[in-house]
Amino acid sequence: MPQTERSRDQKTREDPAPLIVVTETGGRSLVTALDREAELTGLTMGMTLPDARAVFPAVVVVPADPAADAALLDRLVAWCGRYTPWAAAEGRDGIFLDVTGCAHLFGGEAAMCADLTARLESFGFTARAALADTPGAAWAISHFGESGTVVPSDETRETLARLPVAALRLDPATVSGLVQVGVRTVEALRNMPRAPLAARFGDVVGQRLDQVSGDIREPISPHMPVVPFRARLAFAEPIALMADIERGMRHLLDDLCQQLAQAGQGGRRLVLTLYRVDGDVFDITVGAARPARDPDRLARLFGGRLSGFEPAFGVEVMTLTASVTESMAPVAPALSVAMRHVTAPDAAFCGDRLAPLIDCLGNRLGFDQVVRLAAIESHLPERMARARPALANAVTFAWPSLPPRPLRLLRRPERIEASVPEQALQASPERFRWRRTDYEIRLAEGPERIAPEWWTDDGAAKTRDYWRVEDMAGRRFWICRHGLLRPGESAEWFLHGLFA
Amino acid sequence: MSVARTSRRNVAMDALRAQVAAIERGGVVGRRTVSLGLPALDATLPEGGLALGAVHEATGPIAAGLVAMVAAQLEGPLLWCVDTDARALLYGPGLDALGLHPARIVIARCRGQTDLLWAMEEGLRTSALAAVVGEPPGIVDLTASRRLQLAAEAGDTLGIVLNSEKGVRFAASALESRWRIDSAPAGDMARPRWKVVLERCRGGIREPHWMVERDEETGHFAVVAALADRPVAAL
Repeated sequence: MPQTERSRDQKTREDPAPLIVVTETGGRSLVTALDREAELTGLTMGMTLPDARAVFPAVVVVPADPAADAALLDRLVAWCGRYTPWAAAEGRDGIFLDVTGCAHLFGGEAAMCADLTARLESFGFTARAALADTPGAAWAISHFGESGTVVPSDETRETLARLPVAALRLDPATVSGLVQVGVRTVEALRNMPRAPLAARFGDVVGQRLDQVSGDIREPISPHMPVVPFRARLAFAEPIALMADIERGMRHLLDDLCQQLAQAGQGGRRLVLTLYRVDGDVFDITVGAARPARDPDRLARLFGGRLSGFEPAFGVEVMTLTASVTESMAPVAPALSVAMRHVTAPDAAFCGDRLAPLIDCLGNRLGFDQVVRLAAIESHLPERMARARPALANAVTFAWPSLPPRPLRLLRRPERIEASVPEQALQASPERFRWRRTDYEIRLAEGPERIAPEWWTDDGAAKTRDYWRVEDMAGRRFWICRHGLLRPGESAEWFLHGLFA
Repeated sequence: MSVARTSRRNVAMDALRAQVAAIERGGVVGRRTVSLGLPALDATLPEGGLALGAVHEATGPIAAGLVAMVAAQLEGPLLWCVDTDARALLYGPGLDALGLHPARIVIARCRGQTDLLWAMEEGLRTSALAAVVGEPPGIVDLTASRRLQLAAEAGDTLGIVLNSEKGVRFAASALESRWRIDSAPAGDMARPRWKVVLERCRGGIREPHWMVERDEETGHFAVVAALADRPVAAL
């Protein structure tokens, strides 16, 4: 039972003067939207701007902004999530809602239609709604029939019969073509033989007819992917107290966690959506480093984020969805401890106990910012350690045994001016200059030759010879000569790391 | 006779000292401590080791050395909070070489001082960690240091604030102790030497310092020489 709802134009101000929206097309300015006052003064859609000005000189003209219109329509679609998750934008100014099985929550289909239009009117929209068996029929009646019509299943055909062919969502050229040959109503079109119609106007006419009658299914792709784990809470009166909102969230979490537990799943990402009474919709998303379904833990994650929410005149509906889930085996706590010692290579790292902390840090800093340094199979110093999410599986922390490495690596090796004794060019430098400071080397260890990885580099990489050196004050640096030493060429030296 | 009197006086003095120490720590008595692995250093600390449930501060170019000394004595994971704008990055094989196995170190890369102090507090409050290390990019003021200290007490976790830059930036702080670790000329490459100074410690002796040597082969620390008792500036 889809339902079409049509929003015309956002009323941007309280001014009672007629307002029109004008679009430039082909050098002409055409009226593409107008408000009720403008309609009453005799202005119509498709008029040129000079004509409109002639009819009503004081008309307020606003240039069209299709992007803003689309964004507004998207927000309305999101808002329609309070009725059904199956909501989708249609064209420039329509929304389809699949309300199968939802209407009883709002006191029946007619009451739901009335509620929807009344709420949209209260936001300042002019809305027309109709409810029918197919999206096509609902569109036809909302645009050309009486707003608020609920068409019973067996009357779809009769209700549509008298409507003009334009009600079939056909383009204007097809409509005028049909009118020229005397086909004015849906019923007349239905009685025409299909083959000549298809030959003259294309398959679309037959297709639209079948969509209206339901012979061709026309599914509504929802605005949001429908998630299997969803909890919803509506309030008889809007709630504005943070304590009440938190209690509502807690209720939703209990509900959702129960659903997750039954399915053996744990949430990785949860979205709490708050529908404010003024029509604004707020999403609060939290992530978990490991699948979670402990309401207390999840409540803590939401708790901090909720404090930034401004309830204004109150919240009327809250929904909680688990948008990303992962299977989570129901393991008894005692067993999980025993298993950890068997499976975890790093027994000292209590991933399970750390998960709440990592969730907490990850939600504020970003989960890619809470890391451990894992080993990568490479012998290039800057490649052999890579930051991986702290609780990532299948990572190793075992490097092959290496000569001592610096505690800190510079983001990029920094060029230094090194002076190497003339008689021992293969030795380490005697002194070097880095960041405008001179360092005199008293101890050195090296060289350790590290060849480029010819299978990954583009050939420009050079062999590096690393030295670990200590200056007069005992400071230790990791320096390298870039490239092999050739007679007559001065070598390039870099500082790559700092010890301790 | 005089010996007995002296010892009696000592007992009385010790009792008074303990009482004063308890008052200084806000009535907390019998805290857990962690050894630094070096008896000479532990003996200087009023509680015979580095107090857990407290935040300590390490300055100097080898400030991270304090973490290496402590981590060798502790079990369990560490949280290391760094600033995303830091010029040098922690390096996995380097941590490994210092005896800090990267598998047990969670690094939190924080954008700026506020996030970093928040992450440290969160880490200190959970009791799942062995220690929390932080390298704040700016000055930790009195309020912030007190917050850290309270968080550490709440979670009974060891906190270490590293300040690798030169200069004392914690003029007034509520932190438990302040260490300064500088490099010192080593005998050979395999045995780096650090000059460790206990600059400040609640209820401790003023400015004792040691020369500590680390054996890279075994990872053991040893005190090679207690430095002569002279002002730090003269060193």
